[in-house]
Amino acid sequence: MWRYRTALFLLVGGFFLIILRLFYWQVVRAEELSSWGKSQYATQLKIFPKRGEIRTSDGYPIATNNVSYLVFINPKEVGEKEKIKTTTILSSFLQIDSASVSGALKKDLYWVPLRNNISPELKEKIELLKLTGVGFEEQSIRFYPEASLAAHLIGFVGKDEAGDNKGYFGVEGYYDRQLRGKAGNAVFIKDAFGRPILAKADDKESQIDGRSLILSIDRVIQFIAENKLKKGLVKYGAVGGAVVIMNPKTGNILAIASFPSFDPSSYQEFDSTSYKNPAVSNLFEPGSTFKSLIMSAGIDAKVVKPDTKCPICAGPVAIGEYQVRTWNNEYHKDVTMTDVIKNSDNIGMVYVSQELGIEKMLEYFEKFGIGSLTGIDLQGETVAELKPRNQWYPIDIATASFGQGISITPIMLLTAFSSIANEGKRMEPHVVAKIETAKGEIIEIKPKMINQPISSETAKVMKEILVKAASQGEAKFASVKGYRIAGKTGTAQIPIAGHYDPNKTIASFIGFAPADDPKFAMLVVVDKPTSSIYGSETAAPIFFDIASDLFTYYNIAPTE
Amino acid sequence: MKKPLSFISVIVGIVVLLTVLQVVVSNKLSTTGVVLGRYQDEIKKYETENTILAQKLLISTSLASIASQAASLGFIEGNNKLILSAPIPLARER
Repeated sequence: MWRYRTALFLLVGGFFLIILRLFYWQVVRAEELSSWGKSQYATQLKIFPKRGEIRTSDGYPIATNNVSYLVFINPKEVGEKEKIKTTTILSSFLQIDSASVSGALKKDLYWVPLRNNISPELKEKIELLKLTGVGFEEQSIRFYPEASLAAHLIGFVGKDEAGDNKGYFGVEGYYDRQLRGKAGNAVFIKDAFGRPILAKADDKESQIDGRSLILSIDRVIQFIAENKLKKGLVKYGAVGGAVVIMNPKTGNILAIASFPSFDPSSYQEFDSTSYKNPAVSNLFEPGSTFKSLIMSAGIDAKVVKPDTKCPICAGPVAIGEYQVRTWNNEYHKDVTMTDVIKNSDNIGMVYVSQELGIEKMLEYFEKFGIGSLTGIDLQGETVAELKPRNQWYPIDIATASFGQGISITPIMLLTAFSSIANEGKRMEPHVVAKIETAKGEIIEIKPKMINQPISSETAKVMKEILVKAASQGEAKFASVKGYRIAGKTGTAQIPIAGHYDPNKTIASFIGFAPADDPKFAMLVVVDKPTSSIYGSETAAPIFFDIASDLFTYYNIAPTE
Repeated sequence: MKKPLSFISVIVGIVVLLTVLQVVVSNKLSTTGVVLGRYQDEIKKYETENTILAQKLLISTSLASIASQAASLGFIEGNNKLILSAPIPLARER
C-alpha cells in the first residue's frame, strides 16, 4: 500500500510541479515569451492611416492621396556578376548616383531603401527589366489635382520629428489631427532565413483613417479669383496681392487667393516666406476702406447722419503739431457724410472721429473685432493688438479714422465690413463647412454669429452710402453696369522707419453685391502697384472684373 | 468490467475523431489562407489601379486642365457683356 501511495504522491507532486512551471510560462512570463517567439517568425509594422481628403463645396478633392512606390533592394539576392548591371540600370532609372546604389548593394542587410515616391509608370518600367533582388513598397503621398490652386488655403503635408506625416499651414495645419487619423499595427511573417513571406496577420482594428474636410470654398469662384488676381497683378506691376470672397450671411469663405504663392506638392522648392497666407497672416494699414467702419460707428452712435454737414472740411485741419490733408488736396466746404465717403475725404473722417471721441471709437473697434482674432479655421492667423487706452493721442484717433496708424489683416477687415452687408451682424469666418468621418458620417459646422456691432438701420443707411461711393466715386469708371454694388476704395501708405513711403502703397477695394441681397462680400488688396498707386485704378478694376463673373456664375440679373 | 471498456472506447473514439477533424480543418484552413491571401492581393491591386485611374480622372476634370484645353481649342473669354434691361410696357411705348 505504501508503495502505491508513494507512487501516487510522486505522480501528483510531479504533475503539480509541471502545472506550476506551465503556469509560470503561460501566465507569468506569457507576454515576454510570446513576443520572443513572435520575433523569431514575424515583424511588427506600423500601418499608417489614409490621410483625409480636402474637398471643395462641389465635392471635388483639391487635396487627396495618390499611390507612389518606394524602391528597395535585397543585397543578399543580387549575385556578384549582376551587381554592376543592377547599379547602372537603377542609377539611370531612379536618377540617383551609382555610388549610392553600389553602396546599398554592399550592405549586409536584406532590405535597403533606394528611392521614395516613384510613379506607377516608372515602377512598371523597372519591373519589366526583371532585376533580381529589387522590390517595391506601396506608399501614399499627397496629390493636388488642381495643382497650386488655393495653395495658401490648403497648406501642405510635411514630416514631424518622428518622421510621420504632419500638416502645416492652412487647413492641413489647422485640421491636422482630424485629417491624419490613427495608425494601426500589422504583423508580417518571416521564413527561417528572416526573409519576409507573403502571409500577413492584420490588426487593422486599431487603425482609423483620417476624416475628410468639405470646404465652403467654391472651386469655380476660387479659380476665377486666382486668374483675375494674377492678371491684375501683372497688369498693374504689383509685388503681390490677395482676394478674399465671403458669404456675408454665413461667414463662409468662398475663395481666398493670394500671390506670390507656392506649389504644395513641391513646397520644399519654394522660399518658406511664401507659405504664409497673406489674407490671414499679413498685417497692413487698411487706408480708406476703413472709413466705412468708422462712418458706420458714427451713424450707429448717432453722432452724425448721412446728411450731416462737415464744418471743418473747407481746408486742412491741424491736430497738435500735425496737419491732416485730403488725398488729392481738394477740399469741400460743408460736405455731407455721404459725400465724405464718396470723395474719400480724410478731413470729414477726422470730424466723425472727433464727434465719436476716444471711448466710443475704441468701443466700436472692439465691436468690429479690430485687434482680436477672427477665429477663422486656418493656421497662422495673426493680430496686432490695439494700444492701451492711455496711449491714444488725438492724432492717433484722427489718422485711425481714415485707416492709417492701425494694422489689421485682410480677413479681419472683410469680417468687420461684412456686418454692413448682413444687417449689422458679424459672422465668424469659416472655410470648412462639413467634416466627413472615415465611416461616412457627416458633421456639419454651422454658421456662428459673433456679435452685432451696428443696428440693421445703420447697416441699411451705410449700404446706400457705399452704393453711391461705388457708382459715383473714384472707381465709377470700372463699375459693372446694371448692378447695385456697395464698395469703397482704399490707398494706404506703407510705414517705413518712422515715416510713410511716398511712392509705395497698398491699394485695396472692399465691397458687396448685389447691395440689396448680398451674395458675396469681397476684398481685393494689391501690394505696391507701380502703374498707379491708387486703389481706384488698380484694386477696384480687379474687384469689378471678378464681380462681373460672379454675377454670371450666380445667374444674378441686372436691376438697373 | 464491460462498462469501463465501452466508456474508454467512446473516449478514444472521440479523441480519434477530433484528431481527424483537426487535421481536416487545419488542412482546409491552410489552403483557404493562401486563397484568402491571393484575394487580398487582388483587392489591393484593384484598389491601386482604382487610385491611379481616379488620379487621371481628377487631372482631366480639373478646372486648370479644362481651361487650358479650351484655350488650345480656340475658346476665348468674352469681355463684353450684353445686358438686357426690363422691357418697356407696351402701353408706354405708344
